[in-house]
Amino acid sequence: MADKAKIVIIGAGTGGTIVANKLNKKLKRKAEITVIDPEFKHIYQPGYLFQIVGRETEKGLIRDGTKLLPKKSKKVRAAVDRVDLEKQVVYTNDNQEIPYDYLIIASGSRLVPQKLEWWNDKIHQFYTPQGAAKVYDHLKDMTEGTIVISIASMPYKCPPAPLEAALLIDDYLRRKKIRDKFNIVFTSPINRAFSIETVNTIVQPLMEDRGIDVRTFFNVDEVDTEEKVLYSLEGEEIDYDMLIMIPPHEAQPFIEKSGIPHEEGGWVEVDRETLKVKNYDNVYAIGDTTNLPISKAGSTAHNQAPIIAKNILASIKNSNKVYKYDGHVQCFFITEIGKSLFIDFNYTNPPYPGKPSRRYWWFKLAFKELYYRFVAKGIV
Amino acid sequence: MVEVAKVVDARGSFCPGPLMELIRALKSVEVGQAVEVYSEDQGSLKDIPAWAEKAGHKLIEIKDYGDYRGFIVEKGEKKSRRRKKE
Repeated sequence: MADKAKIVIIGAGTGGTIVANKLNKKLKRKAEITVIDPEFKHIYQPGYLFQIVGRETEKGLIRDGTKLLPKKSKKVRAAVDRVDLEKQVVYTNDNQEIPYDYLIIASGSRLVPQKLEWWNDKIHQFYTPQGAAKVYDHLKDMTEGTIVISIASMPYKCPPAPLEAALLIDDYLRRKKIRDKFNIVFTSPINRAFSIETVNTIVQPLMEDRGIDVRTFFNVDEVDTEEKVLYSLEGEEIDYDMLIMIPPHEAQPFIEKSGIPHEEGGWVEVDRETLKVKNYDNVYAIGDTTNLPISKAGSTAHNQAPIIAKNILASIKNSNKVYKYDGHVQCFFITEIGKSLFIDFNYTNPPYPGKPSRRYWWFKLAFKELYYRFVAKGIV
Repeated sequence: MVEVAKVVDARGSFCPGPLMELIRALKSVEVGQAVEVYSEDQGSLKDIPAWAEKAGHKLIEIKDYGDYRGFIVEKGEKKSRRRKKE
């Protein structure tokens, strides 16, 4: 290894940005950090939920990603074409060759609605700033009808988001005093509204109390956007006026192309504790792009970043110390404007969120600024 | 005897993993063929039979392999739709 360890991070989203800052603090002059990203456009994605009910704007969510990264880190504005794991080189689609001693795959997940032949832009989604803005534009002009919130397939980012969307739309319509003119239907592919049972025992009754029609074991088969009908594999049909669907997600295509160990969908196979990519001691993956059976969420990446930084530091110092990720995830789950649950769990302890509270709502509201000032910069 | 056309190992995956693997696998086999999904998740004992019944598939057998179970599900006919496309 040269004097300075070459650390390359693919992706400048939440995981890539936090791990770059953590490494920079720990390594100072011992490493050269390079971050590769096609846009360096950092989006505070939890804000999409506020956007759909007109309480946030696209502009309010986006920051220049280069300004969140360490000043001395090298920023390469390009998409990754492939990685040669044996030669330890990243190739970009504009023909740059970037060698590494340590590689961190932080390339997140991407939306792939095009994989569903029936998907078109009449189906709403709120997993992009533009999509979320369009949801609000449509919703604000509606006076009656059936709104369906549905999930195309699993896994998807931020498991609570579709449930929160249903609850926030219910709240929005109540505030406009037109809730009685609407049906809100929520479909879930499994036998309950939310995958974690201890959270579901609170959330599903809450949704039902608010008059949200929860349809379980509803796996989307097809949508007829002309007739406005949603069909399930289980033989159910739902007529709708507005359909909001979580699009399918996959990992980035360079993962399969490079032969990086992965599962279907391109999700990188990692050790659940060390976060090392299977069979590779100097390659890590963080956040959405892993195959770990936990939430694809910023909080997951936030908790993984210090583990990766410490393990790389230990390796550079030739120490045998191994730091382990315990599966810790924590997040807010908005139940209405003014109230939120707090969900906190790890691999072995499920969450017991208590009741929706005003305190967590205020924390959730303040979190965007806290995120950009402290979390993304690796300070907390 | 129903032919097991595909075996999916969903051990190490927990709810809703094994059920999602089964659903995905059934899409790739013909009506009358079966899929066997291995699961060590206790939740599968409830989820898989309930889903198979609702979706019109037939649970043929739950094999006990000691540390895990094998759920054999035969693919049923697709349920007819109220409105058929021309």
